[in-house]
Amino acid sequence: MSEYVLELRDITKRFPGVVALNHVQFRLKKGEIHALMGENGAGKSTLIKVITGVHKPDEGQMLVNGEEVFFQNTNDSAAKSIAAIYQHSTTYVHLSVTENIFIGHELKNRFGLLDWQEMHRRAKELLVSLGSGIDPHTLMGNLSVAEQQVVEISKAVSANAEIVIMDEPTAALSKRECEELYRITEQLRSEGKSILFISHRLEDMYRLANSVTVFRDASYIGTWSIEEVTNEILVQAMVGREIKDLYPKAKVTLGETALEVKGLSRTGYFRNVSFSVRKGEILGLTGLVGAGRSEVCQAVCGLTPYDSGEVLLHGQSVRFTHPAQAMKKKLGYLPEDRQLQGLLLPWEIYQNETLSSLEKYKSPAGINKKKECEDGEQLSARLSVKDKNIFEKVSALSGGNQQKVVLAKLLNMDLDVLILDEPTKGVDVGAKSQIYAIMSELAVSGYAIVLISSEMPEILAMSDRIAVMHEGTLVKILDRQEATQEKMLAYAMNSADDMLKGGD
Amino acid sequence: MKQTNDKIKDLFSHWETFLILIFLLVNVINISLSPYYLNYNNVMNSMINFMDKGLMVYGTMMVLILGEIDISIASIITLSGCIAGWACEQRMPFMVCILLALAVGTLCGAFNGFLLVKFKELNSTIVTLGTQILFRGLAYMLLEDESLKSYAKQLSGLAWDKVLGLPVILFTFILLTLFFAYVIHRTCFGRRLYAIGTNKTASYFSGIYTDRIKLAVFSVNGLCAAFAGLFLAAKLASVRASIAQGFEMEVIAMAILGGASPSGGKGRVGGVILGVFIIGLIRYGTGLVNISSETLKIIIGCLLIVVCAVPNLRQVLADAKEARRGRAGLL
Repeated sequence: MSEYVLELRDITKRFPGVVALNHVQFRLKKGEIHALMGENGAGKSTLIKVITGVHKPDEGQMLVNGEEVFFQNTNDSAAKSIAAIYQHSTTYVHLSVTENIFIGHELKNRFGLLDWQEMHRRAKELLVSLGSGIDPHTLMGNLSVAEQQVVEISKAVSANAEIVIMDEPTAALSKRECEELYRITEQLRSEGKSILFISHRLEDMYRLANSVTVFRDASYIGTWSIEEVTNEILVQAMVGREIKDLYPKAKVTLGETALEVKGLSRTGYFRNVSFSVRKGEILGLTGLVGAGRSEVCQAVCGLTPYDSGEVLLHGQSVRFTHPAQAMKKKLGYLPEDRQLQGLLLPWEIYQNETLSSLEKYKSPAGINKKKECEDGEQLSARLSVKDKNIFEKVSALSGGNQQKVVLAKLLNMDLDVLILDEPTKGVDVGAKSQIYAIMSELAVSGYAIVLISSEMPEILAMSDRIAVMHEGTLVKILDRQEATQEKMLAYAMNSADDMLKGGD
Repeated sequence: MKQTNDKIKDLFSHWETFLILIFLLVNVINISLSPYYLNYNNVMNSMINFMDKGLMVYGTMMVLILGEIDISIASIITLSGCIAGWACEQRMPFMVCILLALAVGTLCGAFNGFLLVKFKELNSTIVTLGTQILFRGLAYMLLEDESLKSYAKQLSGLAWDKVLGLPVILFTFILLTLFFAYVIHRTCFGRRLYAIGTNKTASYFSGIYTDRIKLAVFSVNGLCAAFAGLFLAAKLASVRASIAQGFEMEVIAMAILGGASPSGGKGRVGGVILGVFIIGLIRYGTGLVNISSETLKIIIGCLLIVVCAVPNLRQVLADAKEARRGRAGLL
């Protein structure tokens, strides 16, 4: 028997236009918690999908308990006792906890019918063994994210999983809920299970892991045991360069207030949110996933409704009910999900870039294609989109270049306030620094920018001021000088008081 | 040399090229089956038998580009025709009757669009299945088993007159084609149609009034149906509640054969013209050699399945090629 329960050798996975995994390796020992770290787009999620059989690797070998495996789908990986728990839980919210735990391997009684009594009993037993008091009859949708994760873990345990993969399980959890998750994870380890733990948070890793592997830009960088690793080693490995030149933030003298939001509320989404941005200013807006950042900004731009509050553009009160109205008043929004909300993937680059400003090209003979192409060329050159030509399909571009095309669409309109929602999510490092450079340049030329981001270093480096949201409320606006990663995180988790006190 | 190769490849990757081949094939078969097929007068007279569906095809095409479907158009023809016929019996002026028919068609279409915009979770197949039954039901309520002649008789010129040597219906089809080719391929409105059909969410985020456009397209589709209904009434020389049964399927078949797709964002006017003529000429040709209309349905059904499978088949072949290349690369 091999020393490793799971071993990946020289795995490569390509998607059209991108290499998602480039000859990577990964080894998981029995009974260890192994952290996998890396920036967005480093290939962590693809690796999980390869391990669970969602994607088939183009090259390389995968071994479970020393024996080579070829997974065709997730059933194959489940048969080898591999279970994955995702950040966005994949539960059936309309079913009960018991049903969720036993889905796919239901228990039957001697008549071949579902044995609910036994299933409820076992579900209860499992949950209790994990130290949780959740009632197995509860509907999944009525549980908190943390509780849903506990259920998912019980599901993995009930399926006799030996290898448990956790994909950013702590991203949406409060500090107390994290502690609970740590406890359960450690309990699994003591029972001899092997755990692959993915997280952005150094804290999680130091608290739990036995060893850590770092990926960067789809490549394997290295593996360290927890005793030998330091912050410096990790950051160097994850980022792979000096941070300084990544964020070219220019000094800008701020103009008058461009966008002001006063006491905006929408029941169930956000409450009494107020902030303002001045010309030339970049306002960072951060918080944990689900804090309501995008929701507030989408309401401001007329994409979704709001119940009360006021939005002022250049001192004039406005209320948009459709994004086109906001664009007319020079307010634009770059959506978070560029593939779903930002782009027409099968369309050519220039047609994506001109989609919001078609009126410009109107003529009696129809749309002026020549002018459209000229503008497309110019925009692509200005944002240095790496393409063969502007007639290439957007779907063939890499994430970073796709994002630049969405940005180009906004810049092709006559705007002066921009809300950028996670503009560098899943973008490779090179394109990232280019996007920062463009942001900086826009601020200099007088745009007011709201930058929504979960990436702390990005927010810290690019923002003039930083607004932090927690569960639908804006808890604090920090100045550039006073902001630190710890403070932001503390406010984002709304535990600023205890944390800052604890630090004294 | 390579360039010309690419050009030929490009030509064959176009749907329209494929359609032209089918079109020629249909003609060759028809010519060999019947000596009367190529008679100019016969061809022109056959127009009235299929071109009424051609008049509705662009409305349906726009609905398909949006990624929706409307199966209530046949019932819209019937309801608008019956109401106009009934109004004519009430001694309303003839022009008013025609305007009434067109207005009823537009309203029916707008009603479909309104339901879809208002209740976003509804699917257009279900909504228009409902209104299909509803509209025809209303027509039956109005006329029961009666058939009305005076309105249709006044329209008869549409079926039998000629303009510039062409049957009125063909002439109208050409005008409509020019108009819709301009709207669909040249205007901002047309570009937005394709955008919505390709990605509705991204279109909305890009500031396109997706709801308004959907409402407009369904209304125009209703108008097209009512307009085609005028020609159908002229041909039948009467209106009753049972006319135009099954029209929607043939119209949708023409549009899909022409390259439009219910999944949205696809199709060009050029292809749809060919779609209309391919199905129309099959109908004409089989009519000449006394093939029953049931057999005709079988032919059209098979053609549609084959045609829908071709793009998939091409994908399958491309994938297989890719896989072979991948394996070769590994060795």
